[in-house]
Amino acid sequence: MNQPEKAQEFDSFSYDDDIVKKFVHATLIWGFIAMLAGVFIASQLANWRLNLGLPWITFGRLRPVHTNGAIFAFAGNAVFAGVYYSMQRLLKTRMYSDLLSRVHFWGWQLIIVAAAITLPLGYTVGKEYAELEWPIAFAINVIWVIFAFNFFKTIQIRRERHIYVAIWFYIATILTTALLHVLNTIQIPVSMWKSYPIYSGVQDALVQWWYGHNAVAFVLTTPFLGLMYYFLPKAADRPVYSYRLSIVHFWSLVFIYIWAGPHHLLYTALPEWAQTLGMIFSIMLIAPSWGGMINGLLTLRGAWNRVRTEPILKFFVAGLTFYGMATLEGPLLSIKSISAVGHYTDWIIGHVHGGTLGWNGFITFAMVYWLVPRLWNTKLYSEKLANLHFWVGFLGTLTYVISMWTAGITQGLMWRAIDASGKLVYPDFIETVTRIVPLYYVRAVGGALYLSGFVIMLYNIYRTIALAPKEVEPVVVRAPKLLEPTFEMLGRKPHRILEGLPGLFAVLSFVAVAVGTFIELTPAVLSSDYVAVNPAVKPYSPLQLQGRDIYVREGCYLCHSQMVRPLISETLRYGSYSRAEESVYDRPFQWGSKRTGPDLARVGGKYPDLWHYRHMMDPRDVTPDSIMPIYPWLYRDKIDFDVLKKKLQVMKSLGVPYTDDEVEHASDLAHEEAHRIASGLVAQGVPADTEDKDIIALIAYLQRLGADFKKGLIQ
Amino acid sequence: MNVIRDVLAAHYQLPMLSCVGLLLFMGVFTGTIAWIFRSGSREVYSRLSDLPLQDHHQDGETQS
Ligand code: HEC
Repeated sequence: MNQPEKAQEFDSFSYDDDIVKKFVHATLIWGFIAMLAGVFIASQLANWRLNLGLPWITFGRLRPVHTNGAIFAFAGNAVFAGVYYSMQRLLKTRMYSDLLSRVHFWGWQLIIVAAAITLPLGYTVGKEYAELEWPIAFAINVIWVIFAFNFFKTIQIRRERHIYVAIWFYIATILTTALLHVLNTIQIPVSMWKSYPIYSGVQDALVQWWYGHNAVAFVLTTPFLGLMYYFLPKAADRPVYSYRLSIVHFWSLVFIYIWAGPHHLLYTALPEWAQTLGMIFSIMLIAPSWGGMINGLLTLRGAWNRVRTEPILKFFVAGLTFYGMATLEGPLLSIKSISAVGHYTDWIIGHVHGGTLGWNGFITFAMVYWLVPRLWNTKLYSEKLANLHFWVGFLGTLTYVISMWTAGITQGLMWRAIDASGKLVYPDFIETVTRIVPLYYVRAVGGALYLSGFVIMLYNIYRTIALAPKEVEPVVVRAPKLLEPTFEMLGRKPHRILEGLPGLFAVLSFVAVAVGTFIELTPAVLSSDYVAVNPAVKPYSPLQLQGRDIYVREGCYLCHSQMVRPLISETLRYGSYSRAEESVYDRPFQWGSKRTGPDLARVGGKYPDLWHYRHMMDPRDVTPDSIMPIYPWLYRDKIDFDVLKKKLQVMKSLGVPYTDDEVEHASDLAHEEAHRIASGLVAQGVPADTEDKDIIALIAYLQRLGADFKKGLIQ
Repeated sequence: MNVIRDVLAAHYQLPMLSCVGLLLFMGVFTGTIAWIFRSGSREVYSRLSDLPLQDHHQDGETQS
């Protein structure tokens, strides 16, 4: 103790561990559901029959259940468990309000339940990891603010002057995630479960990937680093290798990450300078990421012999190694020439899962294995099973990642292959799909292995809890009151005081993030260049707009891109590259990030209506080896003509040049167009009652894609 | 004059932002390095890095 004994006054209190237990349960339950959904959709890609022709479990609707579930339900709850446990102890105080902690917990679970119900029903915004419709998105903002308030109030009432580095990572997480989520989900409601983003086309793409990339940064990276800096020293029973390095790690990471978003949009219609900016900062990210990994691994100095026997340390070491791998691979994929091969392929899926299964999953498992025996005041039921979990999970991750790397690179190279005469070697897209389908089976096995490991953990953990003593007295903690700094202390050691000013540090980290955001986003959001309306290009007709909303609802964007890159192999395959002005009416933009099927930016006019009619009914009817799902409900469900007026109204209020007349007669216009398309089809033998069915609207939309360009309206 | 300004704006304004970003980062980075090696930091950091290890029930500050 530095301070003289007479100045010490002690407080007695206890930590709120019940909230930690709640979040641990939630992590385990949602983790199981999210991973199960993952294995199921992986199997659907291997075998399309598993889509079962049912709308609510079709790939395009379940995939967001998997991604949102894994990110916000599994990883999110894990982060909250770790934050509530560690921050109370690091700050030597109970949470500011037990009630707010519970509102946070139940609110978050309710949001997850709402997501799990609405996504399969097709209520989606259509932007990756931001799919939840506006009422849920709004609830997320509210719950997040409640969590943040409780968090900062707890910092305020702390008994430890100094703020440990883990807390810095939590602060950055809370502030940045709020900024990201609020800005990316500004949308105008059409109805309770449908809204349009205020951004369109290029702007929407930029804002979305600024969000999407930084969700990886500030939901899957910074909080987990915070957890690592707390739980790894505890598990290893030694302090972090270099505290100094952790500070450099923190500031560099927080500063750089926010700039890197455009690496998701290389070779797209995004302006060149923004792409370069994203590429430079992505490459720079290697340094802080590896600094953090090395700091973590070296924390185990002198404890390596324990790694061999202790499953918790094994998970930490493997988790950090996967973190290092993913953070090297990411920057590499941001280099334009590598992105040219990797983008839109399964390589990216492999990359992501190296990070999520290997890093987020393993750090979570390490934390849960460490926490549960302490929270329930007992011993882990079986170390052996935990070790088994590690090896099964490790094998599953490797199987997953390696199969996806192979599939991605194989397909990427096949797409690009051009022979001596300048023609595509594999002009049929489907050839490049059938080649990798075996690897989709391997991937599904990898995922299933990982899930089995998780089930072993569930068994182990719930046995542990079942065998724990039922009634445990809460532990009473005694800690000295935090004394206000005296002038004498201020004079002697000013830096110590500054180190303890969380408000200032929070502001500084927010500034670091805001500067990057401002520079990256403002030019695109303010400049009229990217939203210039070409008078020759008409907005979507009411029926096309309806078709577009069906395209969004069914999650077609999760298998199809709408962005032809300016690369020879792409223009040969799909036609001229995509222009920024082609997306000006797209709310949300649908450029996509994965081509399980071919790009659709220029599919309009490529086939007759009847082709699409048959293809959507059963893709194998026209493309024998297709793995695309069937969509029988589009032939049953009726077009909602009544909502069209409202939709056009909202669009018009956002600046889309519809005339008052078009808005007023939206429904009539749609009926006319549907009648035209349907009579053509009926003449070719399609059932006569097709006219008011969803499929007609979808065909209208598909035939519009790229049509303006083909007509020469866009240069 | 205006023409020159427009040309400059068209060519340098946006790429400049990358340079601004890099410079800012250099500032943050060197600032951090200078900060962590300031005099007296060693003892602060050794106490800080001990924080996660302090809440064991057996240590001097807490008791059950
Ligand atoms: C599981 C991934 C997947 C989903 C989801 C998916 N597709 Fe496909 N799609 C494919 C594959 C693979 C092909 C290539 C084989 C074929 O023609 O069926 C394809 C081909 C197409 C084609 C033909 C493109 C061309 O140039 O030949 C169209 C049009 C199409 N899909 C539309 C859609 C629409 C609309 C949706 C949503 C309702 C959708 N797809 C959902 C995988 C998918």
